[in-house]
Amino acid sequence: MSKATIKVVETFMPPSSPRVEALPWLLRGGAHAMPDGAPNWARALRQTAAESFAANGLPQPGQEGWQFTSLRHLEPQHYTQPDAVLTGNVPAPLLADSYRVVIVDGVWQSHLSLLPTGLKIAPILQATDIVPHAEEYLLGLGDMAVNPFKALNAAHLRDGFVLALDRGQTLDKPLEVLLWTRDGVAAYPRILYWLGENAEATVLERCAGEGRYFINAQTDIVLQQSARFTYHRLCEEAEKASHISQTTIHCMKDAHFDAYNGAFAGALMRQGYEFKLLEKGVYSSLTGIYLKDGQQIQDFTVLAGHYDESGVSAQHFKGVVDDQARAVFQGKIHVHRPAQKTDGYQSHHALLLSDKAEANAKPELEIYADDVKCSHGATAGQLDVNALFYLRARGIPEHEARALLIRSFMADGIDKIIHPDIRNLFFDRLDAWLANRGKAAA
Amino acid sequence: MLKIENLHATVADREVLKGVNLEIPAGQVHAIMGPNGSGKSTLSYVLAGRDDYEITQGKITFMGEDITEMEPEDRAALGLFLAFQYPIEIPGVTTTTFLKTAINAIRKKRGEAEIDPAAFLKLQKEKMTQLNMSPEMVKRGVNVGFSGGEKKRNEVLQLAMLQPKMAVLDETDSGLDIDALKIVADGVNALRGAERSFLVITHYQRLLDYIKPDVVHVLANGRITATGGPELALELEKNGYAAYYDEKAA
Repeated sequence: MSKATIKVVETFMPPSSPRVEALPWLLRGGAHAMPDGAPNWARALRQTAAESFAANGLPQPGQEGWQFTSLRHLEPQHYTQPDAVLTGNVPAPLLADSYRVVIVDGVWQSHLSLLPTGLKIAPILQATDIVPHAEEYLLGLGDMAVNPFKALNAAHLRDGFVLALDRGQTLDKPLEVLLWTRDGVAAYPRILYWLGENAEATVLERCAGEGRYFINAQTDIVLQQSARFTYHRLCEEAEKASHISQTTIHCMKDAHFDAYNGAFAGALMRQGYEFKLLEKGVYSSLTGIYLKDGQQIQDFTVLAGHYDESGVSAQHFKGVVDDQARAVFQGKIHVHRPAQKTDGYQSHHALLLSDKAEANAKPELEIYADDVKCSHGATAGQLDVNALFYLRARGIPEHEARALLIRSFMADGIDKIIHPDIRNLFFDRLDAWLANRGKAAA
Repeated sequence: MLKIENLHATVADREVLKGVNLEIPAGQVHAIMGPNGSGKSTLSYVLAGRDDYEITQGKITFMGEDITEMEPEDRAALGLFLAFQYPIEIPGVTTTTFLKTAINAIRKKRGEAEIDPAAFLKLQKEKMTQLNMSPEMVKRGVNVGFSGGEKKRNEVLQLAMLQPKMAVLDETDSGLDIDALKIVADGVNALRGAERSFLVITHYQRLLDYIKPDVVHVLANGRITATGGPELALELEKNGYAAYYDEKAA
């Protein structure tokens, strides 16, 4: 055992009855006891979070919300690399004309940023300097027991960034955020996007890396009145990577939020979204797109919470599952009593390409208001044999015909992306995946 | 060009074709007429190679090759084309992409170079004008949101673009009003030639007023029960199919 580890053990007081299997996640590199000059709220949060995680551990098999997604391959001994100083290069930006933020192993690399002058951005521990009451969002961890990954992330709260746009401020170009994680690392980025009244921004987050790593990203997005935020996530993790993320969107009156989440590769991806439509007239949408093969697991767990009138939440998921891969969609629309005139919709459509591929969909409605429009739909099916024959009868070989039909199935999801360059990036990923599949078939 | 010998085929374990014999020389237009359920569409699918139709006996020869067990895409590359009775909608794939993919797949199989993109677009535009199709149609998903008539026109567009040696038209007239029928028939007639044959499958004589066949066959109860000239179609229109059921012919 290294000295550093002993030091952490001395400072961290586990609860009286911890889960032993939880401790390795905390005893190495845990930030809860780091002497890093963190503000009091952060220190307190780390301590509370570490205690919560130690008491609960990772979600247990069969635990509510985790019935379909196994975490048995997520083991702390794989993530032993220290948070190393950045050496070597990180991938170049995907967008030709964009602002840039780079996070490596969960740590914000401010020297690699490309940002407009005057933009308010800071390390997460200084969040309160630029966002009033930022700690409200960062401490918003009431459900740490339900989602232990929130606790695990908070126990390691040290880095990430906070970006704040003032009232009426518009980011004139997309912001491209790279979350790059390296072999053997457990990364715990914490991100807060805060948009003031009428502010507007477009973000592309790209999650990628190399080797076997674990990224546990917790993100909050706060939209003040009439703010508009377009959030794209291109998650193309390494083959052996595990990606667990939770994004909470806090929407005030008339805010407008659109998200597009692409999930490609990665051994395990659990992507949680919680929408909080806190005031009247909020519009929110989420389009999820995924391509999974091998033994990959993709899990989308979405909660749309309507707390006030005339809110819209629309979520569309489309994915392709091949080989023995598994897809999970758990979606819930929760309409609280004051949220009259709510319009909520969730759909999940999976295309299964092999007999062993699996899709589990669990849409739920919980409605306490009486004047609402809510619906959901889920399908899982195979390629249409009639369409396949039609293409083949025109001379298109079977594997190519299948690729065309898969593309056709996915295209209407990707076509929802308005930004042309970002839409093309998603199509590129789809085409690369199809080409790869074609090579395997040939 | 096409020779069908003693063809038996089953669909979901039910025998639908019960010994079809048919030969179509190059340059001829043959029509197959028959009542509902006689096996007309089954014959067209079996010719195109649909794999949920099982050939239990017999042989199909096309361009001198035995295609009985051949994959659909290989038959297409040999020059066989089926115009579908119910063309399929394929959202997200434009007709242009679909056609270019098909043309290049066939060229590749024949060892030819890919079509020049500009030449392709020019040809497509030309054919569309002939078929009175709006240029927008090929920019949309294949057959998505098309009316019945537009779908049939799109089939003829594909036929015109792919230039097969033999085209099987499966009830191309169904769902067409008289104007659309003329346009479709003109499109087909423009492709007639000494090296190209057609098998026109239809329920009604009407289509044959516009696409004049050389030979007319009656398919009833899974067999060809009568063969004659264009006058046979007129007689069928007048007297119905009752006289041509298998029992009488056999």
